[in-house]
Amino acid sequence: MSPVKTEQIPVLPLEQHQRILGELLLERGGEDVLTTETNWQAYCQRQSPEIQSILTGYDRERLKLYEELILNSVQDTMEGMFPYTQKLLGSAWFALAEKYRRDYPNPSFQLFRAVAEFPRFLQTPDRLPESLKPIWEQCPYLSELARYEWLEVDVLNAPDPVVPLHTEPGVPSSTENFGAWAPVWNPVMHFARFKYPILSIIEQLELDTETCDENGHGLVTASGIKAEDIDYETKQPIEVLIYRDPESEQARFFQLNPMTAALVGIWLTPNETLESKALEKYPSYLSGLLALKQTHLQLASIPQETLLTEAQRFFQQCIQEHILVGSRPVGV
Amino acid sequence: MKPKSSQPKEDLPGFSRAPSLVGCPTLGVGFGLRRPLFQETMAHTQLIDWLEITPENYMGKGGKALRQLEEAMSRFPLVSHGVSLSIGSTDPWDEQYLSQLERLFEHVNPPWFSDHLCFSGINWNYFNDLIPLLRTPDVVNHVVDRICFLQDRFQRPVLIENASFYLEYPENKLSDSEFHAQILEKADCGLLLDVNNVFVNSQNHGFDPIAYLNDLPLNRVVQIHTAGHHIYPEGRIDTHGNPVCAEVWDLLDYTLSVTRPCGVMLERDLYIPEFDELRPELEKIRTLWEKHYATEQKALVSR
Ligand SMILES: [Fe+2]
Repeated sequence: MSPVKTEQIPVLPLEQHQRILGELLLERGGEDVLTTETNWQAYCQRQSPEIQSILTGYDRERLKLYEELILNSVQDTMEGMFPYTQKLLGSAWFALAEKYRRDYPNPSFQLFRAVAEFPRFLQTPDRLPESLKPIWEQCPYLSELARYEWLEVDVLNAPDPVVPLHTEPGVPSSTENFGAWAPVWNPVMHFARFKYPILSIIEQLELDTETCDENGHGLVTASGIKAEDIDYETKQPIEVLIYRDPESEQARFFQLNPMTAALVGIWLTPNETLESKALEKYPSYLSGLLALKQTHLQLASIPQETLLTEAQRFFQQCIQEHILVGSRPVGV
Repeated sequence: MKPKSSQPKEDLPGFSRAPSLVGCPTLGVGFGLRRPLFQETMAHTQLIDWLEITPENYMGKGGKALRQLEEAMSRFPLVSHGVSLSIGSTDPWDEQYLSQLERLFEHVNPPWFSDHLCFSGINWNYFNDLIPLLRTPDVVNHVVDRICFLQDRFQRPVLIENASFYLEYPENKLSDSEFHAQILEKADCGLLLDVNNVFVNSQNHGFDPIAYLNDLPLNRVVQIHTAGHHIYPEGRIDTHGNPVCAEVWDLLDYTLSVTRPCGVMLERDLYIPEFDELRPELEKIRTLWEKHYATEQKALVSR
């Protein structure tokens, strides 16, 4: 590997040189150029004579080493961010993570952002290698599981929020003041809706779960249920608040029931990104509850005072859990 | 903080720092701040004089990252060592990167900042790795322009680090040391000399590490890295995942005898052990640091 200084070798403009390296190490449309000498030669022969004369002097194994270093660093990051998805996939994880790195460009200088598209990558089996398609069929919740994990990473890394001016701690102690105050929700919080019962899937994975083989077969959860036997269609979608606790700085979750989800939905839009939440609406506690009453017929017969007291209890719980930051006067 | 002021000695090549770098403060023995060792690092203000942070771990973030940064700032001087600036890239600057770095510096105010002499992305696609640059006179000019831009924009010295490289392009016209030397002089910037990288490269590419060092403008060495590496069948890989090896300690000893850096530090990124396992390495850096600084002070007294 001693330095070669040959005057005859043409020198490409730097930009072109870097583009070739980029293509070799990152974007080749899934083609495996560097693993075998045959593939490498075939790749070189497809290039213009000038580039060919340069590439033939390149050490394929050294390029391969860089490719592996790049993949390793992405995989290390992904393992830290998607521990449950990884646990579920078992030995198939490596191939999937590698495929993702090959197919998705990484436009961010921060590695954790590089894998933000991983849940979307798992949404359809189109881009998966044939051998991995059974996993997708067997675990239709794969993408949602990864999305749940990504949302935790997202809240952990979000910038510190700007809490609106005039925010007071707590919820009005008298429901009579509900018309004058609006809730201020934790700004570092996702209101996420999932088609599959992600929290119970995670619970099962937390126990000593057998993972599937590399073809996606044989997944048996700790409770003894085979993945293919779980009837997800009968399960209700779930709504979860995933947020950063401002005291511990940890990611936490809070599962909502259909009614509390509808209540939170008066103020927050499901599956919004943290960045788009600047457009948060601020109806008062009272007008929010009245709107809920109008859309939910089962609430019609409940006396307004009971509804307000019940809601107050829920809002106070939200304060304790740091889901609500406080309240602010309406119209300020 | 312990006083570490010293006067430059001018009869050795690296002792009188280049004029643009004389304002860099002397910091002493440093450590690369890593999350798993955060609490222990904060508790060791006697063992560690200053910390190096990876700016990408803090840029645009709040929460725990920001809280830890603030705690680190309250206990140690901080310098910034990036991995994704992509100094040699032909892509335009990533404006989001630059502005977030600027905001971080407004907060941290590091005396200098550094990144590697390499490119780490092309076509708006980041490698998350340090890819070697082609070494030609044109590339020297390209990189010099980029460093001058950075020094202008950030109004503080830029240091470039000699990176480990595992690939030698047949089109290279300059040796690695010539390439660094020309860029350092033309851009009038500082060198973050990684002695482990010098050693790893010397073994992988068959050159004499001392000759390599002597080719460099040693009066531009502002900061020194030491780290451990791994030996694989493919060669030595700069993993920062092992203790510093004996040859690198010797090279550090030699380097300190011919340079006058502001700080020497330990990097550890992989297989991070208990803090106590790193203590002997930090102590060894201090022993070497004091050996060479004490020599210099003695020399000053005897004049
Ligand atoms: Fe280094």
